[in-house]
Amino acid sequence: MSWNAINWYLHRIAGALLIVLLVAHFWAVHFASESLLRGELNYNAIEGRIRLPLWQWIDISFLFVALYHGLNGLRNIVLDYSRIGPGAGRAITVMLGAAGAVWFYWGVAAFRNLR
Amino acid sequence: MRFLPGMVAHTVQRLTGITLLVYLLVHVRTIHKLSEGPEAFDEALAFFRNPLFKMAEIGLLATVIIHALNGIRLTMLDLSIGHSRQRLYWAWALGAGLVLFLAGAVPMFLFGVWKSV
Amino acid sequence: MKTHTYEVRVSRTAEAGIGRGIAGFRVELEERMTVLDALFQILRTQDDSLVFRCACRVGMCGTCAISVNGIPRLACKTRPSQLPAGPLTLEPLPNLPVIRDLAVSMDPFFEQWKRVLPEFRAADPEATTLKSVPAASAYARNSADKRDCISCGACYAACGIAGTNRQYLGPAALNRAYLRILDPRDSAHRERLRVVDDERSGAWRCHTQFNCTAVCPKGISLTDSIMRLKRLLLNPSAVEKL
Repeated sequence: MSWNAINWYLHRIAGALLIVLLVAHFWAVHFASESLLRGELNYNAIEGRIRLPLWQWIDISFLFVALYHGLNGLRNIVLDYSRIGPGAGRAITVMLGAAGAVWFYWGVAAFRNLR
Repeated sequence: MRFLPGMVAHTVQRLTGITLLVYLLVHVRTIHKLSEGPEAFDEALAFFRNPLFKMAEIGLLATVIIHALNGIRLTMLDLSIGHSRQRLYWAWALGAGLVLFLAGAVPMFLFGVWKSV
Repeated sequence: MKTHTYEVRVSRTAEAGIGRGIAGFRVELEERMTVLDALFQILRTQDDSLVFRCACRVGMCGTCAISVNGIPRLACKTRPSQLPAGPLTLEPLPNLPVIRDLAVSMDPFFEQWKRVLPEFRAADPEATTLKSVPAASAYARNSADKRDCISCGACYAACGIAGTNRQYLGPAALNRAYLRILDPRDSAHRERLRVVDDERSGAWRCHTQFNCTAVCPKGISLTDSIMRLKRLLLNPSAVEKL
């Protein structure tokens, strides 16, 4: 199995996972507690849920899979334009990977200083 | 070349995908403010507390719904299921998408945008 | 015999091949006449400088593929009487360089075609006994409609990816690669799989738009061929079990 094949396959797996994770995330963010149901959206309303390791794991997994699926999707768009040569294509892949790493860090670091 | 349904689906998938990616990147930057304490986080949230962003949020719901439903259609086609009915499945995705969208968007509008205006 | 008048708009190039314009004509066609008949009528009675290609005129050779009302079709198999009412717009195939009027260069198409080793490669060229493929065999069943390609170029012209990616193999070449890979008598599976596995030009560039399948005059499910190629690339050893 080549890297191209693995990439294609993982993109579909990621898509399927995202549907499940999205529903879980949507429920947790909008319906899981009284204050959220009332529409209160502030640090206190969120902190109660997000300090629990379970939700941190779910959110971090969601972020990783979403970044992979989204940035890989963008990469596919780039690959479809032959005007962008092989060198430029490789450079863009590296940049997308770097962006993914940076955004993943920012996401994980959000949980750093919770009370 | 005329824009046939399969091509429309492909274009919609890409446009919604780019939209969702942009949203994700902004969203993560906003949530990151959690690590800077309650004041910084609540200030960041306040920036989005206006009818324009509330409407955009409803648009986001439509975007993610159609991208996910068409994604399911594409994955079925990847398994060689339904090639002869791919246009019908696109129509179903649009139909089911509209139903799911209304189920979510109407409450969001009434209790979100309408209340805040 | 009863005829109907059709307004025909034909894409023209100036003498030197520079610039495009639309020339309008009126033709009288019987119900069973084709776009190709319309083109000949224009050529013989109205404008003998009109350039278009044809050969067999019965849908077997693939030479007369042009764009009819925005869809790549065989001129000899398209009846204006069966199209929605209104003017007929005839243009050269998209995604291919225009030589003149409705004639395009098929070079880009056949460049990709040749890359997949389209011809049959016998495992033993010196064999003296025939290896037959019974009609009930898996190969015969799986390849049934894949064999009908007449390399007309309609699929390549219709493909949205071929439009932006000059390196893309395209539906016809990929279908031909799949057909040869399916053949238990052929010996070049590995080479072809390597060609279609390419990141920028191979099967992975197909995004299931279905334009190719929609326009193929032979009704080949090209998207299906490319999909099966992708799954083969996920598990190349499955070639032996085909």
